[in-house]
Amino acid sequence: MAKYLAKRLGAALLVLFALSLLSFGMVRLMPGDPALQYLNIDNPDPTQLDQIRAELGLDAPWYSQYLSWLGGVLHGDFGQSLTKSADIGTMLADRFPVSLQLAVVAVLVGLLIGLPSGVVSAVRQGTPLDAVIRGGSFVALSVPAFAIAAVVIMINAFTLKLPLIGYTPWSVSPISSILSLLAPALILSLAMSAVVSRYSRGTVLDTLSQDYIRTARSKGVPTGRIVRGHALRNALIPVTTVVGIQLAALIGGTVVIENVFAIPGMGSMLIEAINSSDYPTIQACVLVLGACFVLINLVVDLLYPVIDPRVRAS
Amino acid sequence: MTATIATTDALAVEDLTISYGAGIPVVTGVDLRVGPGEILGVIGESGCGKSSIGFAVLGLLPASAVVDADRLDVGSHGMLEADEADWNQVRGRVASMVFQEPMSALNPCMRVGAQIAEVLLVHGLADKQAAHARALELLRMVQVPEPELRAKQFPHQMSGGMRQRIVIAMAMAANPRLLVADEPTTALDVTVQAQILDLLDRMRRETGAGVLLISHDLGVIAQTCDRVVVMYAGEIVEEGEPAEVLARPSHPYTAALVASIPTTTTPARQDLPMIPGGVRDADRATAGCRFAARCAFATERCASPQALVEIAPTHTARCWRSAELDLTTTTEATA
Repeated sequence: MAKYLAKRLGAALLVLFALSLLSFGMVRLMPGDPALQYLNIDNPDPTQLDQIRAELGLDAPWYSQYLSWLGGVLHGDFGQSLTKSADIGTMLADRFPVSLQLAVVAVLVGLLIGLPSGVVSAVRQGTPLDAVIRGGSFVALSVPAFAIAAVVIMINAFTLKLPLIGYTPWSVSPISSILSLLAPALILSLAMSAVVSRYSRGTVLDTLSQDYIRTARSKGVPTGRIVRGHALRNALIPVTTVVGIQLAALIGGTVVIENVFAIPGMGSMLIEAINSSDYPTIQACVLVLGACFVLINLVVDLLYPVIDPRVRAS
Repeated sequence: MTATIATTDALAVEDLTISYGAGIPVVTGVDLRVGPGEILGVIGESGCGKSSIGFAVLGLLPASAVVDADRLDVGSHGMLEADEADWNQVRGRVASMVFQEPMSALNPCMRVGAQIAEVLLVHGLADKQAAHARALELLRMVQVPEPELRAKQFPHQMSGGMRQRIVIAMAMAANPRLLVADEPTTALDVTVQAQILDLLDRMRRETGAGVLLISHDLGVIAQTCDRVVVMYAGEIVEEGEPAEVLARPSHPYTAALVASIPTTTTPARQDLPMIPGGVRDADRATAGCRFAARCAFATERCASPQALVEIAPTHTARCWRSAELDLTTTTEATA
C-alpha cells in the first residue's frame, strides 16, 4: 500500500517535471519574436530590441532561462505577462477558479445524467428505453457544444430572456455565481453525460455477464438487488478513470463555450496569450492545465484502492 | 446443527428436453432422480448436455433456452410453470449450486462472510447478526481455518481450494435439499480435488442434501457417487452404480470412456486409447443410436430407436447389442 502510494506520487512528480520542460520548450519553438511583440511597434531600433531581450532575460542560454523560470514557478511566481502588464500568478488566481467551478458543475451534472441512464440502459438492454438512451447519447456526443450553446442563447433571447451570458464571481454571491454558470455547465455536461452513459452501459453489461453474477442468481438474489449489490460497484470502478479524464479536459477545454457565454476562464486566457505571443502566460497556462491532469489522475489512482479491494492488496 | 433428513426426493426430473430456439435439442428425454443424501453423478464428454441439465434444474439457463419436461420437482417444489420470482424462492434455499470456476464465482468486491450471509438475508432466514454468526459456523463446517479472519477477507486473498470451500459454504447456508455441483474440482489441484470431494460427501451425510455431481472425470464419479448416469449427445445411454457400470459397462460408449483412461500400466510412448470422431449435430437428430457413427460394434439394427433396457436390477443401458457384447474385456486395464 505504501509502495503503491510512493510509486504513484513519484510518477506524478516525474510527469510534472517533463511537463515543465515541454511547456517551456514548446513556446521557444514557436515562430515570432517575443521582444518584438513586447515593443509592439513597426521597425524597432535593433539596440532597443537587444535592450528589451536583456531586460526579459532572453539573451541568457535556454537552460539558465528554464532554471530561473522553474525557480520562480516553484515559489509561486509565474512572471509578468508581456502584453497585459499584469502578474501572471494574479491572472491565474482570477481565471482558474472560474474554469474549475464550470468543470466541476459540468461533471456533476454529467454524472447525474450519465450514470443512471447508462445503468438503466444496460439493465434494460434491447428494450425501447435502451434504444432511446443510446440514441440520445449518440446525438449528445455528435452535436458540438457551441452549436447547442448558440441555439440555447437564441431561443432564450426570444422566449425566457434569462440572463445566461456573463459570470458572477464567487466572492459576490456563491449562489448567483453557480447560477451564472449553470447554462454553460449544462451544455458542457451533455457530451460528458453521453460519454459516461455509454461507458457505464458497457461496464455494467460486462459485469452482468460475469460468473459471480450467476453465483448471486444461484443464491436466489433478485435482479434489482443483484444490480445494486453486486454489479454496480464492480462496474463503476473503471468509470472513475473516465470521469477523472473528463474533469481535467473540461478545465482547459472549454474555450469556445467560455467565449460564447463571456466567461473569464482558463480557456480564453490561453487563447488570448497564444494570439499575442505572450509566451510566459502560455507557459504558465500549459503548465497549470497539465498539472490539473496529473493531479486529477493522481487522485483517481489514490481512489482506486479505496473502491477496489484487489488494488488495495497488491 | 441438526438437519432433519427429508424423505421426499431432492430432485425428480422426467422426460426433460432442452433446446435453444428452433435448433436440435441439446438434451432429450432425460429422467433423473436424486434421493435425499444421495450423490448422483452425471458423466459425459463436453457438449453432451450435462451442464445444461445442471443449470436447468436451478432455472439458470439463458432466456433463449426452451425447457420442456413432464416433471421438474426440486425438493417438494414443482417448477415446471415457475417464473423468475418462484425460482428466486427456490434458488439458494431449496437448491443451490457449486460452480466449476472458484476463481471467478465470487464477487471480488465483497467480503466472503457477507457473500455467505447474503443467502440467509435474501431469503429472510436470519437477521444481520444471526446471518453473520451462521456464516462463521459454515466456514468452520467447510474447514476454513481462522473463520473470523477469513470472513472479513476478499476472494482474491484466498487460494482456489479455499474459494471453492467458500462457494460450498455459501451453497449450504440455507440447508438446501439439493446441491448441484458442476465440475466442482476441474479447476483445482489433484490434492485439493480429493479434499473438496470429501467435503461434498460429508456435507450430504450431515445435512441430508441430495447432490447432482456433474463431471467428465470418471475417477471423481467412481470415488464419490452412489449412482451414475452416462450421457451421450443429449441422452442417457447407461445408468447404474459406479462400481457396476465401470467394471461391466453395457454400452460401447461407456466402455470406450473407461478404456480411454490412462493407467500406471499403460506403456509409455504408446498412443493413448481414444474414441475416434466427435459428437455431430446430426447424431443428436437421429432416431437410432446416437453413438453408432463412432461405435466399433454398430450394425444395421442400431439405426432403429432403442430404450434403456435393464441389464441388472440397478443397471440399465441403451444398446441393442448389450446382451451379446462382452465389453468387460476392453476395460481390463482399469479393472
